[in-house]
Amino acid sequence: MSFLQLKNIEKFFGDHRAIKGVDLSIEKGEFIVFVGPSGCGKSTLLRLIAGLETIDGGNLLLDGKDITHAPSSKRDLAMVFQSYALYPHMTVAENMSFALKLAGEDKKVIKEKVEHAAEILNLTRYLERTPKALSGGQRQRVAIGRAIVRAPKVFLFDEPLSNLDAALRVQTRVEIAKLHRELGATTIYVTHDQVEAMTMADRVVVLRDGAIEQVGRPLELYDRPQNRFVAQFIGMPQMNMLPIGEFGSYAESLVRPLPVGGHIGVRPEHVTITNAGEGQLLATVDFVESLGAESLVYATTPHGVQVVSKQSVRSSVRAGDTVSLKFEQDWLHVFDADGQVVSNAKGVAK
Amino acid sequence: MDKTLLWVRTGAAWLVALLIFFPILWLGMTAFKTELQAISVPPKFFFTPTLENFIEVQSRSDYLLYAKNSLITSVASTLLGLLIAAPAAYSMAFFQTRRTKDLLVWMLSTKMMPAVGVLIPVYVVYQQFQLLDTRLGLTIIFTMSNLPIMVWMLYSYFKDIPREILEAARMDGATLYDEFRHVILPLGIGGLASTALLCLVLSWNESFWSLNLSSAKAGTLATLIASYSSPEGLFWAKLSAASLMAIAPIIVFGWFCQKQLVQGLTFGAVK
Amino acid sequence: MKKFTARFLLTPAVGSLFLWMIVPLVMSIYFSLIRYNLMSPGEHEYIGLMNYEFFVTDPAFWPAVLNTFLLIGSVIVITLVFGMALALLVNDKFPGQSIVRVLLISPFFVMPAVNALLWKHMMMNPIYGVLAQVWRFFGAQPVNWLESYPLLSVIIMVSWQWLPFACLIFITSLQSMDREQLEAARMDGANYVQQFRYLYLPHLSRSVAVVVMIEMIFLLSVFAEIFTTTGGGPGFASTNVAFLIFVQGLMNFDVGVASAGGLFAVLLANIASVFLIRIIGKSLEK
Ligand SMILES: Nc1ncnc2c1ncn2[C@@H]1O[C@H](COP(=O)(O)OP(=O)(O)O)[C@@H](O)[C@H]1O
Ligand SMILES: [Mg+2]
Repeated sequence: MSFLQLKNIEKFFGDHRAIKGVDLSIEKGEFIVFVGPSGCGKSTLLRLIAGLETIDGGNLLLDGKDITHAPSSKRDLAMVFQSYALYPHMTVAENMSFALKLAGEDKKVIKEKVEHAAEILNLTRYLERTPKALSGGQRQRVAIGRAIVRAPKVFLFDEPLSNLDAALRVQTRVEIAKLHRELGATTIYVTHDQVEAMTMADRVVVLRDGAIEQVGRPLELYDRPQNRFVAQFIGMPQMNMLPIGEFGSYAESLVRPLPVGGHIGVRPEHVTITNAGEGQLLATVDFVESLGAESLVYATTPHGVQVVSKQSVRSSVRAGDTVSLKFEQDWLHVFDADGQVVSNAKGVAK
Repeated sequence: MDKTLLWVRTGAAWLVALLIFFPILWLGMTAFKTELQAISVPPKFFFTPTLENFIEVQSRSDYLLYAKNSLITSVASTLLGLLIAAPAAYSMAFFQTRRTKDLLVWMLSTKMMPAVGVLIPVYVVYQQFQLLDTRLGLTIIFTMSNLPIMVWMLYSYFKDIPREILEAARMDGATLYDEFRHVILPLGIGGLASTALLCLVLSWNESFWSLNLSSAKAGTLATLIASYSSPEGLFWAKLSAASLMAIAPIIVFGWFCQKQLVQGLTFGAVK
Repeated sequence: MKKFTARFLLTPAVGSLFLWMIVPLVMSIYFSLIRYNLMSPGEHEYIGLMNYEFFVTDPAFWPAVLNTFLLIGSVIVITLVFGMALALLVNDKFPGQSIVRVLLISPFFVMPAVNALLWKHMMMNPIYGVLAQVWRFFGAQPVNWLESYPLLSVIIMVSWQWLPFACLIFITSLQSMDREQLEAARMDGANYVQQFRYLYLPHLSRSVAVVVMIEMIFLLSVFAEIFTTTGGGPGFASTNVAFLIFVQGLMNFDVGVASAGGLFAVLLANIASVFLIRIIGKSLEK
C-alpha cells in the first residue's frame, strides 16, 4: 500500500467546489509536484493534506492510518510556506527548534539536530539572528531548516521559491532537489512554474479547476500528454495547436478516422521553416526572437492560427516573409474535439 | 531660505503647543499659589510656591483614599477587560465568519448608548445587588463600558498577525494553548499593552458613573474633584491642587506611553 | 471542534455585553410605560406612551436634540481641521519635536471633570479668568463666556480635549506617507495646496474615519462638561440629550420620563451607529 493516499478528496468553500474528488497515491520517498495555473486548487489540496483546511469528502491515509480529520499538530507533517511564516520574535535557532521543544525533546538532542540542519543549510553563522535580520534567501533556508529538523513523515512546500529573485530561485531549486536526494524524504511541492515541476519532480500532478488532469513522470507528460490542457501547459514555448482543418488532405495520412473538430498538436522544435513548397502549410512571419543558441519564429497561417517554430540554427527569415512550415510527421499529437488525446507522437517510441 | 522656513515652523509649532498646554500649566501653577495669588489681577507668573493647598486637600478629604479607589478600579477593570476581550478578539481574528463584522459593530454600538440613558436601570440593579458605592461595582461598570473598544483594538492587532504563522505553529505541533502562549502573546504584546494603557486612562478619567454610583467609600478622584466644584466661594488654589493631584499621575503615565496609546487608537486602520 | 472553540472564547464578551445592553433596555422599556416618580411613591400604574409624549413635548427636547448634533458636529469639524493643520506643522523634524508632541497630547489625559472646572474658573471666569485678563490687556470688554456663549464654551472645552487625539492620529498616519510619491509630486511641480489635495488628504482619509468614529462614540454622551459648568443653561442653551435625561430623571425624580428619554437616546445612538457602520465599512476594511 502507498505511503500517502488521497481517496476521492473533496473541498467546498461555500458553494464553490474547490477540490473535485482527487485520487492520488504517493510512495515513500517520492518527490511529487502539484502544478497548474493560479487558482486551480494546488494550495488548497496541499492545505487539506496538511490539515489546515477541513476535508469535506473522501479519505486521507498516511502510513496506513486514516488522518482525514486529525488536527495538523498530530499529523507529523512539515510545511514550508510561500511567505516562509517564520516566527518573527524567535531567533533562527528557536524557529528551528520550536517543534521539537513542543514535542518535549531533550535539550541536547534539539541542539544537535538544529546545528546539523544549520550546517546543511549554511545557516550556522545566523543561528542567533531573528528573521528580520536575514535576507530573503536566508529566510527561505530557515523555513526549510525548520522542516527538516523535525524529520517529518512528509514535507509540504507551497510555492517556496516565488518570493526569490531569478538567480536565487534556480540555485535554491537545485539545493532543494539535492536535499531531497540526501534525505530521501517524501515531498509534495506546489508550484505554478512548470520548469520547477519538470526539473524537480519524480512525478508531476497537473491540476486544473480542482481536478487532476494527468499524473506522470515529467518526460512522460511532455511526450504523452493525455489532453490538450496538459499538452499546452507543459513545455515552453507551448505546443502549437492547429485545427485539423488547417491541414486539408494531409491530415488524413495521420489518423483514421479523423476526429471532427479535433486538433493536431506539435511542439515548436518539431516545426521547421522551409522554402515554399516543401512544407505542409504556408504562413506569414510575424516576428523572430533570436536567443543566440536558438531562434523562435512566430508565423501566422492564412486562417489566423499562430505557430511557433524553434530552430537551433540562426534563422534568416524576417517579419513579413512568406514561408512554408514543415511538421515532422513522427511528432504530431492528435486530439479529439473534447481535447482528449487520440494518438500521441510516434517519435517517442523510437 | 529653507533655514528661515524651518525657524518659522519651529516657532509656530512651539507657540501652538504651548497655547494648547497652557491651561494645564496654569492649573499646575495655581496649585502652588495662595488663594489670594490665585485670583490676582493681573495674573501672577512669579510667586513663592506653597504646598499648603495639597496638605489642605489631603486633610480635608483624604486624597489618598480616592487615589487608591481610582487606582484599584482602573487596574482591576483593565485586567478584567483584557481577560474577557482578548479571547473574544482572538476568536474573531482567527476564526472569522460572515457574522464577525456585524458582531464587532454591534459591540461598538453598545458603547454608543449614552450612559445617562441606562443610569436608572443600572442604579436599580446595583441597589438590588448592593453594588452601590463599592469598588467592585465601579470595576464592573468600567469594564463593560471599555469592553467594546478593547475588543476592537485587540481584534485589529491580532488580525495583523499573519495567519500563516499560526498555521506554521499548528504544523509544528502547537496546541491552542501553545499557540496563544508562544505565538499570539509575544506577537500581540504591543497590542495588549496599548489596549491596557487606553483602558487605564479611560477608567481613571471616567466621571459619569463614578459620580452617580459612588461617593464616600468607593469614590474615585473624579468624585473628589466634583466635591470641590461648589459654586459658592472661590477656592481656586485648592481646587487646582486637588485637580493636579487627580490628573498628574495619568498625564505623566500618558507621556511615557503616548506612542503605544495612539497606535492602538488607530484601530489598525492607520499604520 | 473549531467552531466550538471559537464560540467558547467569544461567549464571555458577547454574553456580558448582551446583558449590559438588554437588562437596562428591558427595564427602561418597563419604566417608561408606567407612572414612576420617586417623589410620589406607591402607584406604578400603566400609562401607555404618556412618558414619551411628555419627554418629546418638553420645551427642552428639540433644543437638546439640536445641541447634541451641534456639539458633535462642531467638535468633529474643529478637531479635524486644526488637528490636520497641526499634524502637518509638526510632522517634519524640528528642534524640540518630541517635547512639542508631549505637550500636544496632554489635554487628552485630563479627566472631563477637571477639564470643565479648569475652563469654567481659571480660563473663562469673567473677572479673574485668564481669557478675561487677555481681553482686558487688549482693551476689550471681557466676555462672560458661560452666560453669553454657553454652547460655544462647552464646544471649546471638549474640542480642547479631543484636538490632541485627532492630531496624534494624523501624525501617526503621516509617518507612513510615501516619501517617493511626495518627491515625485514636487518634481512634477505640485504646489503645497495641490500636494495637500492630491496626496495628503487621500492618505489621511482612513484616519479621518477613525477620528470621526471614536469622537462620535464619546461625544454622544458628553455630560460632565455640561453638568459642572453651565448646568445646561442658561435656559436650555447648552442642554444636550444626555443632560436632559439627567435633568428629568435625577432632578425631577421622574423615572418614567427619564426612561422614555433614555430609550430615545438609545434610538439616537442607533441612528448614529448606522452612520458609523457606513464609515467603518468604507474605511476600516482592507
Ligand atoms: N479560504 C478560502 N475561501 C474561499 N475560497 C477559497 C479559499 N481558499 C481558496 N479559495 C478558492 O479556491 C480556489 C483554489 O485556490 P488555491 O488553492 O489557493 O489556488 P492555487 O492553485 O493558486 O494555489 C480558488 O478559486 C480560490 O479562490
Ligand atoms: Mg497557491
